[in-house]
Amino acid sequence: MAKFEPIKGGYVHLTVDGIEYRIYYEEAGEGIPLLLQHTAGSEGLQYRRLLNDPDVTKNFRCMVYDLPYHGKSLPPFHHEWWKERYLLTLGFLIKFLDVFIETFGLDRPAYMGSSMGGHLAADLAYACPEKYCALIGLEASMVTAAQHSKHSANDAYFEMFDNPFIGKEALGGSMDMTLSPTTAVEMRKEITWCYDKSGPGVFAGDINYYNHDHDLTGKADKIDVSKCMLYLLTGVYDPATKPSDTRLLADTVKGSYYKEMENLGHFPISENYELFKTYLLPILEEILKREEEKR
Amino acid sequence: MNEFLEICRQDYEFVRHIRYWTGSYKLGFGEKIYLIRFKDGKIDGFEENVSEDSPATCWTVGPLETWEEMLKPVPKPGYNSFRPAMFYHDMKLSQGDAVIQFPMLNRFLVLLRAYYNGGEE
Repeated sequence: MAKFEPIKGGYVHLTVDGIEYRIYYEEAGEGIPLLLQHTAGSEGLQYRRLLNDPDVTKNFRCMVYDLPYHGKSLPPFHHEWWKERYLLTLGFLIKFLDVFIETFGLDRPAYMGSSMGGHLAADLAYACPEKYCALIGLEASMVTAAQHSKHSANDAYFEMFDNPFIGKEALGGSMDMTLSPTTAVEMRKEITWCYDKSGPGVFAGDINYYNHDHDLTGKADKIDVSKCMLYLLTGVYDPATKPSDTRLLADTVKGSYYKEMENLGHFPISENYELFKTYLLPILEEILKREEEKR
Repeated sequence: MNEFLEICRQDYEFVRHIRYWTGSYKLGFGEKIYLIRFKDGKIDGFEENVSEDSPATCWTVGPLETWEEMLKPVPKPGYNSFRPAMFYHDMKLSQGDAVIQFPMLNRFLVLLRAYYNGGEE
């Protein structure tokens, strides 16, 4: 029997730094806008279970987008992207979100992101808290733990993950190593599939933001959660951002919220949504209550 | 090792991950080190008691304590795969060109964990 999901998809043309991008997005639900940022090298369909969850969509207009070069968002048509190395930057991410918010006429949306999207929650809390009503960072930290390792240099990442002599399944295989051992095999395969099908060099280019642009050392203590609350959740099995890494960020951002998530790894939304949801719903309820009081 | 490698030979996922591959995998449990050879996408045999510095295309060589935790049905955080074990528990994991074998290594670990515990995955 055929079954339709309550998700609407569409394309919107957004111009950032003078370059026009054709962006794919999906949305479901109504209420407070909740922007959803995918991980490096992947795409928005990581959130497909959340978009199908009435416990979330009854109060939140959930909007997930594929960044340029990711998922169904092609590289820019009117720009010779093939003549330069793709590198994602913090500046681009902030501007992209500004344009997205303005285009859809969103009033101080909430935001949630995972991995590089988690880092971005903390960066937004520092850079532009007045634009958001709440920020949720999954697997976020002050600085990428591996930044100090010899494997983290941009060139090393490009050699490993933008190498024509290395099969694309190496990327999915690498992500597989960050999952909780309790992850169902079906979800494990879905997560790695989304990496294996990513565009050439995109994951490595995203890591430019994740490993290098993102660094709140000496800044995180200036984040003011009275302007915009910062929520942090990290899976105990995540080797890329250990719970202690997030704890350091949470301790530095006074008044922020932090919980460790049992039996989850670097991809909590996809690994086990039903379990992840038990950590997410109390946060969404708090955001909803606070926003209702403001009105 | 012969018995375990036969399980690998019969496993569709493992065989797919090594398709077309010619190379070698150095597998070290403490001081006990094996070298498994692959040729044209098939397991081609193995040697045991090789030295730690024996050349190989890829390798996972680590302390016995690390392996013991990694091979538990549900290992503790930090032991869930070769990558965290490399970061935090002295597992030597090949990088560079050998990342081509990450999917093979993941499947190898799943099969080894099942074999070690005497049951199904």
